[in-house]
Amino acid sequence: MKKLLIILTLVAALLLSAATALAATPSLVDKAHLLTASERAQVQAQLQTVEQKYSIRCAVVTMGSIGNAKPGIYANQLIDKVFNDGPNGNIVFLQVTDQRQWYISTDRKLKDVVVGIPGTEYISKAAVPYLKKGDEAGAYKTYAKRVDELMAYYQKHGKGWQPEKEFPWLAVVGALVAGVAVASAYKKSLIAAMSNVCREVSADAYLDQGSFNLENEHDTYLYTKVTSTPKPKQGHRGAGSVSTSSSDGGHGGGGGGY
Amino acid sequence: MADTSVSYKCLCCGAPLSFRPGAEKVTCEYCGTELEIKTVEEYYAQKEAAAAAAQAAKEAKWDTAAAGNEWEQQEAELMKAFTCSSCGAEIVCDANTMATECCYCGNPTMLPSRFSGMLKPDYIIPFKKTKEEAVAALKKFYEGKPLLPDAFTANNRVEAIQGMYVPFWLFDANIDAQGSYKASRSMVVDTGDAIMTSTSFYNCQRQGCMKFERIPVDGSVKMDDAFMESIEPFDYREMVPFATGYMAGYLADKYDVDADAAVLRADERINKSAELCLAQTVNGYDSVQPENDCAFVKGASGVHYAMVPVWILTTRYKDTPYTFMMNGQTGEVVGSLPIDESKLRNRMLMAFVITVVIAFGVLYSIL
Ligand SMILES: [Zn+2]
Ligand SMILES: [Zn+2]
Repeated sequence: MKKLLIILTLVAALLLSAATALAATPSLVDKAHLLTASERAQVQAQLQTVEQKYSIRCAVVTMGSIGNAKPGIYANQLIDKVFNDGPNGNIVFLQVTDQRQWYISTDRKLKDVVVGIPGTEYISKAAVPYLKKGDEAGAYKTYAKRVDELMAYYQKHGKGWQPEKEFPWLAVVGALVAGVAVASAYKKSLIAAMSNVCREVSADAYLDQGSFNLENEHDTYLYTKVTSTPKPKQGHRGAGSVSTSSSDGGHGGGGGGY
Repeated sequence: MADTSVSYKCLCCGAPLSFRPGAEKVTCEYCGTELEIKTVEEYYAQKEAAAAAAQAAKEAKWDTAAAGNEWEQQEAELMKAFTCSSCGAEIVCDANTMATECCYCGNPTMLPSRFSGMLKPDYIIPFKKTKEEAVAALKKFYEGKPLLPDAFTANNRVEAIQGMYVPFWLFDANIDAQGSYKASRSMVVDTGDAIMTSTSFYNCQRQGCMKFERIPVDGSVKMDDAFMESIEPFDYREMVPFATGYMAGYLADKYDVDADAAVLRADERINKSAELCLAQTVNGYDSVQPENDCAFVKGASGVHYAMVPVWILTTRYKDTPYTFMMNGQTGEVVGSLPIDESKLRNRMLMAFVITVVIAFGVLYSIL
């Protein structure tokens, strides 16, 4: 509850500060002061081009801190409360510098454009490496460019971009191997069922079970063999890979660290 | 140096191991295993002892002379013998029974011969199942055999059926067995960035005694050993002292494997049983492997000569004879049926297709 309050206060503060400057909040809000004046102009121009081309809101927000709030929740709030006036949908790229986290949130409409993890990664895999280098302007320009591409794809095909599925060679080969294994095991059992002629291996049936008496036992230690198998290293996820912890019915997108 | 060093083989990999007398430890140059010299010496001493025990066991003979009896004059006169002119099988029956055709090769020319050279059995297990029951049991045996050619059941008739007493040697023995096992125990430790498995190996010696009663080994060369072992077991509680009266209407095979030859098979089976029995006492390890054949010494042992009842049924399919046997006491039928190759192919194809479809579905969704 306390977290929610903090978020609401922060969002309100953002609203107020924006409202004093313009009637509608500008699409670039650099609260963390990461951009120079000329960079700001460039990014803003590029965002605006995309917004006008598709009648959407394509926003960037940088924050020095959002307290303990989760970037995903905060970004969703921005979509709900601030950047909610795009006729064809809204998308925001949030960067939180003290947590070194980013998050891309979309509303329901753009969820169909930026589809799932692959859609979000299409943007983040290109943009986040710039954040790592400290080139924020580069990151936001790339973000705008990628949103442009996704929107263009959506308008052309009537559905969001999705990576082409590779031909499932592994599944085909695996299925064939399983097929051969099962068929040969089945053949063995079928053939075995046709004959019950088989020699006995032991005389267990004729052993007087009560007669066994262990007279002597002697165990000697011989030697020890030690083998060491290195554990597989925990794979580092690539720059811009996405976790969708905060996506819900009304929001799309995802985020991660940089 | 070469003169004074003692050579053994590495207990782990079998590579030659050289060390000076008086040293305490040796490391195998090939696999890096560290061994206590005392352990290696003890191990080889034990191996030698085991080999000596096995040799002694080999030389220990069964008392086979006691098996069987001499026929009394009267009894011998009631018995007849026939020899097959084609395959040479020797068949014995009582005076009122005729051996009209050879039950092994189907040859109808059976030459009467002098009844001699056969021990009188100690025991006999009388026939309990009739000829009709044998035919019905064979029909039942065909049921639920998916690969059986349709033609086999459609125009199948039993070509020949013969009740036959088969000579068996029954071995009793109290044995004292010695087994050597290699056992191991593993411990897995997670060191953070690796998984260390440390496996300790042990040599486990076991010695124990046990008693076997009436292990059957058929005494007929003509009778397939695999068939005879497949119709086991017989219920010995119904075994009675031999009398010629039980022979009426049945044929008997004259034994041609003597007790001394049959005992080898009994020994094999005893060996396996003893090995398994002793292995069960090697506890507290993750794996147990027998190291060499279990050696056993026979104490009190005995051999009996008995006749057991077997129905032999012969059918013909595509000019090939198929022989089935039924335990004349318990009704257990054994045999090998012909396989319809096209049925086999179809079923395998079906199994293959179904598996591929299901496996593809599963793999596609998880990969
Ligand atoms: Zn070695
Ligand atoms: Zn014959």
